[in-house]
Amino acid sequence: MSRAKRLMKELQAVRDDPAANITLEFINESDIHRLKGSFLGPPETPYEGGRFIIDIEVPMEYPFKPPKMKFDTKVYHPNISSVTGAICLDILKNAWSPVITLKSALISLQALLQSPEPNDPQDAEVAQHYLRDKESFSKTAALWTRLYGTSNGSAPVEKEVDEARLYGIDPNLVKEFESQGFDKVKIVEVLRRLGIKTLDPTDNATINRIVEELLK
Amino acid sequence: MNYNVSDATDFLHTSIPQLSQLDTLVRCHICKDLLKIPVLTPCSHTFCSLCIREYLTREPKCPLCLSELRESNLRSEFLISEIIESYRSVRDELLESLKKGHRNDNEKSLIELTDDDNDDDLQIVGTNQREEVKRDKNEKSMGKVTKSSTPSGLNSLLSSQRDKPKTKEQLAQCPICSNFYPIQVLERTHLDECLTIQSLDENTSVKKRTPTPPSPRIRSPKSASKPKRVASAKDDVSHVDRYLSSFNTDQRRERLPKINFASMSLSQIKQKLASLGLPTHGLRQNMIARYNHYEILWNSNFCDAIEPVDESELRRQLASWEASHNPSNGNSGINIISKMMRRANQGNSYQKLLADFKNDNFQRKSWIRMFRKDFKNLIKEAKRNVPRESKTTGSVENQITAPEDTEKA
Repeated sequence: MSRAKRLMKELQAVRDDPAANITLEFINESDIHRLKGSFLGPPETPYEGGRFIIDIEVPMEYPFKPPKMKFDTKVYHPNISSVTGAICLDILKNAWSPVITLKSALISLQALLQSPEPNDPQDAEVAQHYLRDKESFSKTAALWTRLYGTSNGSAPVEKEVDEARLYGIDPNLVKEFESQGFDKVKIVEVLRRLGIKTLDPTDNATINRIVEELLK
Repeated sequence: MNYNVSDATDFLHTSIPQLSQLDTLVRCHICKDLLKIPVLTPCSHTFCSLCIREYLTREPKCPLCLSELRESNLRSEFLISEIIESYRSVRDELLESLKKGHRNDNEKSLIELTDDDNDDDLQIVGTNQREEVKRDKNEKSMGKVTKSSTPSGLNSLLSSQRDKPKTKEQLAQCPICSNFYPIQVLERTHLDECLTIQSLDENTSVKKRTPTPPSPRIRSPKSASKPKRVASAKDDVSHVDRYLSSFNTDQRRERLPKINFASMSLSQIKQKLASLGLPTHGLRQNMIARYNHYEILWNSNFCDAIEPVDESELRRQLASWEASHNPSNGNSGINIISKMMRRANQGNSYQKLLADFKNDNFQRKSWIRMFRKDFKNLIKEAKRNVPRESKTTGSVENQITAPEDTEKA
């Protein structure tokens, strides 16, 4: 069975290269089509210092069909869904070739963290944030890495985290609407939906739009 | 789970870690295993015949450089195939020797070229053996015969190969005149003479010998007649000899064509499978997948391999592939039916019933009586396979009634 044999070789190759800081293991040794991979966040990026865990599902037709990969660790990135962890990467879809290995796919994901493609996004909201304010985006991504990337991929209790900061929204803007009697959770939800991170106090049109949404 | 699989990295922890690069070169980029039946693409990339053929059923391009590629463009690489077979046979022993050498010798291995006219071999020796090798060389030049120091690691492996006594089996067959000569004679003089004579013969239109075979892709019956083979081990047979023997008429087969199943009925597909001796059970898509995979196996084996395996082995490989790709296919019901039909087929009463059935004189009671036990087993099997949700409604029990009930009705 070529699939099993090849997977064993790939695991061996990952084990024989500890310098790459990549891990690859079967979730359950009796089921060879489910694996967990992990790699370190690339240096000099907001993801530095985090370890990102990837859920890998190997199809029956592997290596002729690509493996299904998604992030188990929550990550703030234009090409990765901040909710489901789904990945938008060509080599895992139409550009897959049987020459690519799980190790090289994980390295490609590491490279994706280093150079996002906001024009072909998986998460439109994050992509907008990246294009509008790169510095604010980097702060949010670094916060997510600190919160989720250092633990074993499990999310911390949401109450411990300031939701506004979590999504890169200006905390003063949230306080402004809170003082008008609106619920904080709803404010964050509306601002996220409208893609607003900061606001000019003189921009009445946008303020009215936010209030309309909050009153719905 | 056992992770001990052969891998190019095996050589990294030996006295010659550079061999891992060689090991990587003789591996298929698709299955990552040592190349089996290697084929060359027009873009000069090599893959296992089976791997690349399977990939080309999905994407008509080279997996490495993405240039356009068709199955008909693939070319067999007999020489590479032989090199890999030789390497495969010695790999484990080589690895073991190198690991042993790595453990025993702390000193770096050195490769020295001996200046001896008779022996052009490389000598791989440790630093502590250099003096003795030099002394050996001097003594050889003076005509003395001396015993060299006990070699270790790879050296011992090479020397054991070199020191094997040359028996009469070291004869090789000339691919042109089919006579047997000692290998050295064949390589140094005979081949040149034979080729010269052949070219002279061709010029004078006197063809006394069999012509050289055509390119490996065209396997016409008119190609070189099977040369007389010497009864020796597979390893002793020369590359050319094995190449010529691949034109053996017994093993030659036509390549299986790709079939457009869209225009074929189910019975036609079954007929096609039956003509190849393949199972005809399962859904339409299963049968199509079965043929397609068998076509890949067949063409890889009979078009590309030097020594093709027989059809029964191909069918075994197909069965193995099907088992791994359809682990949960519910064939248990099919198996019961086929068993009961096979059993009934042996009795005369079944033949009579069948004849009556064909003449529109179907005896229901006799049929039910004959297969009562089997029907019960089928019902039991069906009930077992029904999902629990539908069982609670009780609708299935009502639908599946025993044949006795229908008989009364």
